[in-house]
Amino acid sequence: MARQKLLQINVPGISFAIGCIILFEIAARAGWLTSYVPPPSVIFAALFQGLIDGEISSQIGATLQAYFIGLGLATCLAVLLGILMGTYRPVFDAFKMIVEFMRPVPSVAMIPLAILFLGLGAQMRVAVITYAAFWPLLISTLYGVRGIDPLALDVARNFGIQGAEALWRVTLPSALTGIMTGFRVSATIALVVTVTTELVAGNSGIGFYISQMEQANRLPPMYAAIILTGILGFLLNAIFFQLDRRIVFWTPAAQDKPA
Amino acid sequence: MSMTTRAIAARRQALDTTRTIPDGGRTLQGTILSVSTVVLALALWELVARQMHSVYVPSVTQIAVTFYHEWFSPTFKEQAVPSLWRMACGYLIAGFCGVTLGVIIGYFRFMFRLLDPVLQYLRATPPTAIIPVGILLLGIGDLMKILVIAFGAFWPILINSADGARLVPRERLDTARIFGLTQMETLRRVVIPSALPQIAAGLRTGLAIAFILIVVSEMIGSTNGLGYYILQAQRTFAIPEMYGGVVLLAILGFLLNSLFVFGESKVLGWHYGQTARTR
Amino acid sequence: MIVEREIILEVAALQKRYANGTLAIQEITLDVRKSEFASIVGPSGAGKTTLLKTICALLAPTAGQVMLHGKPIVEPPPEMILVFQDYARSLFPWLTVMGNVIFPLKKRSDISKSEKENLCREAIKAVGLERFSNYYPWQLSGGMQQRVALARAIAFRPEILLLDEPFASVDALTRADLEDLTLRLRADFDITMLLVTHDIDEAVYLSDRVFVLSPPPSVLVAEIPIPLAQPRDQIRTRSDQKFLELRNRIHKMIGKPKEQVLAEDEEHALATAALELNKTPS
Repeated sequence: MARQKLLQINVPGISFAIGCIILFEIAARAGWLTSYVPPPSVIFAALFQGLIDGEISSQIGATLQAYFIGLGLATCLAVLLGILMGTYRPVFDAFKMIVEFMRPVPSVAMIPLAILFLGLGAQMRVAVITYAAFWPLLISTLYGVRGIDPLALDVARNFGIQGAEALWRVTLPSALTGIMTGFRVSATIALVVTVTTELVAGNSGIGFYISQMEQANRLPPMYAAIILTGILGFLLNAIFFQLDRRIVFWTPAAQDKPA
Repeated sequence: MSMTTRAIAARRQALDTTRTIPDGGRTLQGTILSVSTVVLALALWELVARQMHSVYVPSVTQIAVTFYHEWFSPTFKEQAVPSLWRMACGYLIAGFCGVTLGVIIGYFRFMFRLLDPVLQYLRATPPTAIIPVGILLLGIGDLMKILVIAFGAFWPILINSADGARLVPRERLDTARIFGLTQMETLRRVVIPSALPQIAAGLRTGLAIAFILIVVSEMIGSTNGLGYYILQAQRTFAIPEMYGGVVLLAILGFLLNSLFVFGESKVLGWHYGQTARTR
Repeated sequence: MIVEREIILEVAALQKRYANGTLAIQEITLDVRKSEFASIVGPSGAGKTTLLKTICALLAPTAGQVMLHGKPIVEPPPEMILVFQDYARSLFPWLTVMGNVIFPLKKRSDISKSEKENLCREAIKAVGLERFSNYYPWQLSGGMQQRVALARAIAFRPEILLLDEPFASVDALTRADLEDLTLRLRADFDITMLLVTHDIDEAVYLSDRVFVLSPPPSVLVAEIPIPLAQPRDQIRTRSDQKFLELRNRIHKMIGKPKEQVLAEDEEHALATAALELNKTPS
């Protein structure tokens, strides 16, 4: 029991997961599931195949490219506006209502609009991704800035650090916990929106590949791509979680120990 | 419970993206400023639209008129109601299953450990990627959309409910044991009320996801509904209608969120009081 | 004159080892008599909380037994109620004071509803919170919250009340109030009390007997009768010569292993005895 904790590998959990896949395999091969659902072994073979011969791997590049550009843009804009809104009351008041009205619009509703102005390419997708990732990050940044201990800014002012410099050197680091949390949420949303835009109206990327395979009735590659999106999501979550811990290393949660 | 567990709980609360903007200290000048920027933005749009004479950028007045015509007419019943209906069904299924299963998983710790890797993988899968499978297995009818919505909204509800049940302070569970409560009684009278704030957060996120999924599933595989309407409008170059649809979505989203917050304040009034105190 | 009261709680050769292998309690044997106020003191980490939790069967002992009225305990018995140190986390924030106090009674089908409410009202009154029945716990101060926890335990009318450092999280003035409240409750409701604390003065002030624990793995180092006059008073009792002697004696025992304490305390006992001989009887 103690040794298991040391290794930090969830043996029962992983065994259960593997068990599920095996059960799935048996069920599919025995014909208990509809013919529309191939056995996992076939799906994994297609995944492997697609990765090696480039059919799937080429699409990954397109997806990730749109993803990171959109996420990056959203981060810069959201953090900037969030810090300004959180620090200066007039800025907050000015944009408050606009934010409240635009927030509840689901990003996917913007897809037709984006198609209108930007056609059916990567640009359109980046625009929608940026829009989607922007809002959670903005709100989190606002909360992060609001939650700053005013003492920190007073200390800074004592040492002659004010204005833009204070924003960069004091406000931003202090709000970083909130910002990082918001970033992780935005990162998740960004992936969903990336895949979604590719599905609905894309011409490249994993989502586009999925819809293509569905139309061509090539089911194993289709499922393979769907599984891949899950894997991608899982990996990105893990990467950003580690990033969070390392960037905001001073909080107790990052150090994983009692206060 | 160590600080770590409490910190994690605080993080999970921070991960709730549907919180309202922290808006203390409202002033009259502030409100005037807020309203004026909105008015200014709309006026700017109007001016630019009239200058441009572009089909792609209809004026605000044009959009408003179209909006009035479209949505105060049978179109609402034909397009908006099916969307809301499908969303409601899917959301309720997800809510019921998610909360029940979540609380059970969270309370019986071994179950949580067992299911964790599978849950982590499934929740990382974009629910929209499931839509093609749904279409394949169920066609493009109501059932497909309802199940896709249920699938998507299920995960945040499940995970948040499990978290809420898992993070009940040890002392409360011990208190229940000391006073001789059975497992069922403990679940009902201690665990669920304790977990309610976290469950509510999950339900709110689930609602946002349900909203997104109804639009997407109608864009991809439907013959009616708001998602279908907006995409069709774009394809047939009925541009003011398209904008009108987006505006309707915004209004619906706003209303749904407000309704939720209102309901939450009724049930969770004690929680707001408590967290305000501990600030 | 100490009347020999019957023993109602027996802890026999209790041992507790944590899941990670650490031995918290090596061997503890003690008993508690009816209506008495007993305290357990020890250094931090001595496993005092663990001991209380094992006594009321929240935790299972690795060896040994706990017996209530001669019968071994396996499940938390209704006759024995534990009051936690962290009141904020043991009270239910979605219930009012009244709601919290009546909570454990709700499942009792043998008492009528009005009877339950009477019990609760009596308990709330006994702890001095009649005006706050409809408040939520988080609207009250720390001391008041601990009173709610006490009222909740009292309303259940247990035979024995186990108190786990209940006053550690409140300020000194409130602590004095709560100590006296506990003594009053014990007198009014005739409840046997077993208190665990790191505060020696508090233990001596409140108790009829004090048990001293060694550092972990804990054993019982000493059992000290406290023959101070009743009723106790914060000022009079605490300035009594005997009080100071007792608390100093216990102070010297804290943190030392059993053998050392026995050796040192023998001397101290002899020395005190010698002093007594030279004084005129009072």
